[in-house]
Amino acid sequence: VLTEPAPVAALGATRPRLLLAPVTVTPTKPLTPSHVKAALWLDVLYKATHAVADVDYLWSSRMANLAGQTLGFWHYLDRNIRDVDFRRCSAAQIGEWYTDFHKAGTVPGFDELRPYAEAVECGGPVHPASARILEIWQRELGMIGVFDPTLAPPPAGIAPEETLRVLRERDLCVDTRATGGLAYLDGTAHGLPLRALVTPDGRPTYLLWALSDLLPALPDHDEVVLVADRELAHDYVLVERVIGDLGTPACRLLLGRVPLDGVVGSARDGGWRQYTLDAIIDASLRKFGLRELRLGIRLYFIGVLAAASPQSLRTELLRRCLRRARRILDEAGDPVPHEEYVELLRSMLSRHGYVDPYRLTVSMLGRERPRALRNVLESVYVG
Amino acid sequence: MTDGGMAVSTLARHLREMSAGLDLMPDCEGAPEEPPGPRPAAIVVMREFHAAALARGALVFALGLSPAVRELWASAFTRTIFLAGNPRNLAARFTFAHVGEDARCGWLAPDERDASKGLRRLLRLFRAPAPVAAVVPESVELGTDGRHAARRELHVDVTGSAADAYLVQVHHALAESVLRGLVGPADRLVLVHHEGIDRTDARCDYARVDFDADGRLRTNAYLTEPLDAR
Repeated sequence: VLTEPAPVAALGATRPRLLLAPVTVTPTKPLTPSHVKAALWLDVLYKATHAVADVDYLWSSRMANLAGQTLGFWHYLDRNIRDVDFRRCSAAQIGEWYTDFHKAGTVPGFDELRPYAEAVECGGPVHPASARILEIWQRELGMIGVFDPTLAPPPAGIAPEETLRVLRERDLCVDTRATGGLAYLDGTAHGLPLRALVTPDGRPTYLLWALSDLLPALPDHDEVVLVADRELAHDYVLVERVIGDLGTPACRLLLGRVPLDGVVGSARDGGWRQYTLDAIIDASLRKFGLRELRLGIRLYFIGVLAAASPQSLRTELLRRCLRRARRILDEAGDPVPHEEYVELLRSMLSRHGYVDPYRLTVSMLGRERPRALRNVLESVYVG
Repeated sequence: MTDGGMAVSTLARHLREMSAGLDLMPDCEGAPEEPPGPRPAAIVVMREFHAAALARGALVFALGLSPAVRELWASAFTRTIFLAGNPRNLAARFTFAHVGEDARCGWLAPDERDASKGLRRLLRLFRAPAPVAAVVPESVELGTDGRHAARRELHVDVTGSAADAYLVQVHHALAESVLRGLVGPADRLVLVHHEGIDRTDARCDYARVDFDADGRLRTNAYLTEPLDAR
């Protein structure tokens, strides 16, 4: 599967085939503004690009569920939080326990985590706390109209050991495990440093899980769009090159985190309490309708914050975007013929073949709004 | 094991009399007594641990160095840094003095300008804490150019050694044997691995001795005198 090119003729059309592959979020906490931003960028990119290309969403649950911090959190919950019905917990409560877990700083060895990892690898259910988090995320993201990527076909995914074998054959992996060392992803031909693919106790790193889900999908796509947190740039520059070496061009879209009160933090450190997605939704729906929320929140997180803004979350700017959304929705005319809509999206293509969410979003903010505005709104922003 | 021999204590006494350049402290990366500033070091880039590839390549590398580089390296006690990496991926950016069979290992000559700094940033130290005894053959033929002017054996004790510690021992032993003129391009060398060296040839031309955990001298490796062709 990995070496044979896809039967292009069988696909018939000349539409480019894109693979959208984001870094997945560990189901351990409420959705913070950084997560919301990534979800909205992905959503607009996915829906808009659909009009001009075949886009497959590759959602790697393994990357999130088998991350050391997720497994460690489950282990922590089972030992410290007893007699709790997680189905009744709020995301904030579970997020507090996640913060406590990181504060406790005890990292169990892989032997203790193995039962959790094996259960997930065998397709078993995730921990009830994470199942609850996923349920809450699904509901909240559904409210703001984000396509649920877990509805996309799950990745074919291969075993990490098979990925290492393929990488070794292509000189993309240095494997010193036989004498007790690590295995590394090798992009040194591009001047990039080695990065570990396994932990010292032999577990795959998130990079190895990501590659194990990506590899089988590469032959069926013309380009891979990697979407990652800017803080993972060093890893994703390397992943992009390695995928290219395996024969499929790749590009990366790196999104900066949204600072909260001037601090760029991680959800594990807490500090997100009043800024979670449910709080944003509740506050917005007091004065605005659902469609205004869906458009306004995209205007803010895509058009105002752009990919890399260092600006902290500003609720007054978000409110201004919601008012702007109300105006845009009121003033948008009737839909134009589909071809004209497609033409508009084509003019917003990045050089990697996806519709640039930033360009498309800011095109609605100017005085001269696109003629296909109604189509864009209904197909991409509020639908 | 070769015939003839003596107890290790006798060997130790014998060794103490060999004053020239006896390296009792194997070079270790990051040792506290390391002087500031870069010290010249050869670099070995390895894809995996492979005793035969390492030993064969080390000989070819050492024999191919110019007199000036030999002198520089000898002055740094044949200091060598072992890095995990694939020589094939690095050949376009860095000048390897020698790349071994199947590009398992590649060597960069020591220099005074620390030209390998960029390489060290790309790669990681070759960590190999696993016991080496399980992954080395009993002996390895290191015939050089096939003329066999002399035949010697390099005996190495692998008891309790980690693979990375073995790399240091064997590489120093081979390098110093060449730099001291004990092994030439026409010679035949056999690398012999032992679990414990308690008896050894009465006369050896070079040995690496260290203190064990109990403070006793331990022979880690020695090079025999030229042996009769057998």
